[in-house]
Amino acid sequence: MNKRVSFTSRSISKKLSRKIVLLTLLVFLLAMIAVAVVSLVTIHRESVGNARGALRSTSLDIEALLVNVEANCRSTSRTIAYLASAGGDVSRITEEIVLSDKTISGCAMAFEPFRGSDSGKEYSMVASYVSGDESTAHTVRPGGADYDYLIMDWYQIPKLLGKAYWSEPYFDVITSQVVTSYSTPIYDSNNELLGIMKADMALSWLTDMISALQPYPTSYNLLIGRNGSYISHIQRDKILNETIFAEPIAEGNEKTLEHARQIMSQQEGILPFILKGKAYYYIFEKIKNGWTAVIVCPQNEVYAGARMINITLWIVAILGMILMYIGCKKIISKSTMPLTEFTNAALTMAKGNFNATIPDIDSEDELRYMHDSLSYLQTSINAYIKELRKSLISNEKFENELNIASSIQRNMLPNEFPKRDDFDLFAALFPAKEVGGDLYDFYVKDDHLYFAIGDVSGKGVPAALFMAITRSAYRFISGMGMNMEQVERNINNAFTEGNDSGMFVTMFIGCLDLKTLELEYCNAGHNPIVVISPSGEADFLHAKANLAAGLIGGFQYQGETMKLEKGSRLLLYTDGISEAENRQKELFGEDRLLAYAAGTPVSTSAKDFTDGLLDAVHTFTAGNEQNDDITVLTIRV
Amino acid sequence: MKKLILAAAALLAAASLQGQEKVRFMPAWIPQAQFAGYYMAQEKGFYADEGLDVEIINLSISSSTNPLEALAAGEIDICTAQLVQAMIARSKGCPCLNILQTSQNSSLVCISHTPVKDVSDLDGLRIARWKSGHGEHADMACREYGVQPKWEYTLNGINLFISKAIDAMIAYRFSEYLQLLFAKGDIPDENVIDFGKVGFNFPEDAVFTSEDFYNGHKDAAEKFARASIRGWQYASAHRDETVDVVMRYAQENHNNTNRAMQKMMLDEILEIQVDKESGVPTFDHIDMESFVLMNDELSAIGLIDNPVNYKDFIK
Repeated sequence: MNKRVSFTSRSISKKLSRKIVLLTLLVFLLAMIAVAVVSLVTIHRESVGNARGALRSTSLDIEALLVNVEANCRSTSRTIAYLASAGGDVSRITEEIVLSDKTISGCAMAFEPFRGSDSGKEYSMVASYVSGDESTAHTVRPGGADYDYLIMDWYQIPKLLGKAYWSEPYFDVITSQVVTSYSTPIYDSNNELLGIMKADMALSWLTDMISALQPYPTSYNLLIGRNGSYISHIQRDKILNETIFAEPIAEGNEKTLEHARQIMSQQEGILPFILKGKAYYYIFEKIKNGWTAVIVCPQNEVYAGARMINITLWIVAILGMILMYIGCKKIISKSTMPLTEFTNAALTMAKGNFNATIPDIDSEDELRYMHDSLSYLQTSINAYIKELRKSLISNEKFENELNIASSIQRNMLPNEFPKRDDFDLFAALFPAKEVGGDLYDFYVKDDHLYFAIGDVSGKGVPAALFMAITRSAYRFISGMGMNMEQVERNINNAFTEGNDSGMFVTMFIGCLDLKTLELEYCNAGHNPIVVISPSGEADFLHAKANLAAGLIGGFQYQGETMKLEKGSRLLLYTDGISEAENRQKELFGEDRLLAYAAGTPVSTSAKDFTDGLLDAVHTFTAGNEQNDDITVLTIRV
Repeated sequence: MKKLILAAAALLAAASLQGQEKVRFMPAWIPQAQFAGYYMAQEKGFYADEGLDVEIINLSISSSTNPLEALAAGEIDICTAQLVQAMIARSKGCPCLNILQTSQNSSLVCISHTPVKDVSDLDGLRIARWKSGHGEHADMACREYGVQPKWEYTLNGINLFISKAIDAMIAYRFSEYLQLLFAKGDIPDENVIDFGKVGFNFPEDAVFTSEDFYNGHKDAAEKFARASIRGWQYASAHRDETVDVVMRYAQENHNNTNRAMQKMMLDEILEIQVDKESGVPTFDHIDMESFVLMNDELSAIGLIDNPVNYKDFIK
C-alpha cells in the first residue's frame, strides 16, 4: 500500500495542530504580557536606579573635591587668623596652600578696611597662585578702586552671611581664569571680622568630572548654578551665558518653565519630557554647594534592556510556535496515517475490489475497532457477492430457457393468413410476459373454416403449458368431424382428468360453412364475440355461456348455429382487450370495443381492422403496463 | 604698479575721511541692548551719513571707569549716562550737557524676597544698591515715605540677592530684573516696587557731551543726536537684526549673555523710550517743570547743593 496523500489526515492534523497552537499561543501571550510588564517596570527601575547611582557617584566625587577644599581652608583659617591678628605676613600660608593642593589654583586673604598688616590702608589683600605646571607660587597684593574686593561677591556675601560660602563661577582677573571660590570669614579674638580667606578652584575640575559621566550612549550632562546659570553644558556657547530659564521664558513655554522650576527647586528627581517628538528624562540632584547636576538621556536608551528582553521573548515565542506547529502536525499526521489507509481501502472496496488490503493495527484503540469492523465488512461482502453470483447465473439460465419457450409458443400459432375471396381473416396475439396463456387457431378443411380463441387462467409458464395442451387438443379433436359442442365436451373431459392445478381455459370455437355461410359455434365461458352487420351495426353475440373448460368433467356443453350475411364481420377477443387498463385505472371496456367495431368502415380489411383495434387499445392504455395477454381474431365474410 | 594703486587707494580713503568728523563715544556700560540704537546707527552708516566718524569705546565688566569723569577729562567726546547722575555730576562741576534724552520714563525697581505693598515696607530692610551710584529714585521715594532702609553697597549682579544675605535689591527693569527673572523663572509682582509707578517717573538714559566739545563742535553734537535717533528708530523696526548686532558686540567684548536676554532688554529699553501720553518715542527733553522738581528732590536728599540751570544743561 503506497502512502497516498489523503485529505483526511491532512486536515485533521492541520486542524488539531492549529487548535493546539492557538491555545498555546494564547497561554504564551498572557505569560508574555505579564513578563513584559514586569520586566519593563523592573528594568525601568533598575535602569533609572543605575543612572541615579552613576549621578550620585559623580556628585560624591565632586563633593569630595569641595570637601577637601573646605577642610583645607578650615584647618588653615585658624593659623591665618592668628598670624594676621599678630600682624604677620600670611603669604607664606597662602603660597603653601596653592603648592600643596593642586585643586586649589589660588588662595588669598583679603582684609577689612584698615585691618591689614599695613593698617593704614583701606584695601589690603594677599593673593597667591600657581599657573600651569609651575612649582612656584606667585603672590600679589591687589586692592583699590580698580580692584574693590570689598564689594565683590566672594567677599561681601560671606561677610554678610557670617559663614563660609562657595561662590558662583566668576572670572578671576588675577589668575585670568574662571573659578569658583570657597570663602571663609576670619574673625579676631574679639569676634570681629578681620577679613575673608578664599581658596579658588578652577572650574574645569568640576566640569571635567561631570562631563565624564556617560551612563547611556547619547546621554549628556548639565551642571547648573544657584542662579540658574549653565556651568557645564554640551553646547559650549551656553556655558555661563545662559540660564535654564532663558529658553522657556523666551518661548513662553509654560511646560518647559515648569520643568526648569522643578529641577531648580527639588533636591533630586527624575523628570520625563518630550522634545521634537522624542521622549527623554532629566535625572538630577543637588550637590552640597547648592548646584544641580543633571543627566539628560533618551527614554528609549533607559528601556533598551527591557526592549531587548521583550524582543528576545517574542522571537523565541514565534520560533516556538512555528516549531510546535510543525511538530504537532507531524505527530498527529503520523498517528492518523492508518485513517488514510482505511479510507483508501474503503475506496478500493467501493470500486469493486473487495480484496483491498486493510492495514494491520497493533494497538488496542479506536483504530483497532475500525480495523476489525472493516475486516468483518470485507468478509461479509465477499460471501454475499458469491451467493449473488450463483443466483445470477441460474437466473440467466432460466431466462434463456424462457426465451426458447416463448419462440416455441409463437410457432404454435398460425401466422400465415390465407388470401381468399370467400373470407378475410386476421389474428394477433401479444402475451403479457415471455410466454402467455392466450391462444387462437384456425384452419380450412372441406370448405369449412374452423377457428378458435381461448384464454387460460393465469399467466406465465403454467398458463403457457396449459395453452399448448389446449391448442393441441383443439386441433386434434376438432378435426375428428364432430359438431362443436361435442368437440368442446371432449376438450373439457380431457382437461378435467388429472388436473389438480385447478386451471381452466375459456374458449370460443366455431365452424363456418364457407358455401352456405352457416356458422356453428360453442362458447365455453369466453367473452361474448362481436358481430358486425354488413351495414356496420355492431352487437354482441348472445351465445350460451356454458362453462370454461377444465373445471367440471362431463359438462354438457351446448352449441348453437346462425346464418351470417355476406359482408358481416366477426370479432373475437380475450379480456386482455376489454380489461386493458390505463394509468387512471379505467378499463377499455366493452362499450369502447363496440364503438370501435361500429365506427370502423365495413370495407376495412381484417388486418387493418385488427391493427386499428390494437392501436385504439394502445392509445387508451397510454403506455401503462400490459396486465393480461391480448388476442384478437377477426373474420370478414 | 600694485604699490601705486594701493597708495592711490589709501590717499583716496584718507581724503574721503577728511570730510568726516571724529567723535569718541562711550556708552555707560558693557555692550548690551541698552545701547542698541547707537550700535545700529554705526552699523547702518547713519553717523557716516551725517559726516561723523564715530569710535565706540566699550567698557568691560571689571572697569571702574565713570563715563562722565572721562568726559570731563576730555578722554571722550560723547557718552551716555542717567539724567540724575549727570545732574549730580554737573552740580559738582562736571561740564556735561544733555544733547539727547532717549529714556522718557523711569525703570528703577526694588525687588524683595517677600511681598512689599509700598515704599513704607522697605523700612529697615537690608537693600543692595550699586556703590557706583544710581538708585536716586529710591532715595527720593524713601525720603517721601520717611523710610530708612539698611543700604548695602555692592558691585553688581544678583548673586548677593540670591544668597539671601540681603532682603532686597535695587535693579533696573531692563537689566538686573531680567537677570533675576532668568535665574528664578519668575518674579512675583507683589515682591516688586516700581519707583516710576509710585510717583517718581523721572527720565533716565540720555546722551551727554562736554561743554568744550559742544562749543567747538555744536554741529557734530546735533548730528550725533540726529543719527542716534535714526539708529533707535531702525532698532525698533528691526529688532531681530538689532539683537544680532548687539550679540556680536557683546561676544567681541567677552560678555556673558544670550539672545533671549538681549531681546527682552531691547524690548524693555524701547518701551522706556515711549512717552506715556502720546504713546510713541518722542526723544523729547524733560520739560522745565519736571526738571525743577528733580532739582528740588535731589537737593532735599542732599545729593546736589547747587541747582542745575535748565538752559545751560539741556541742549
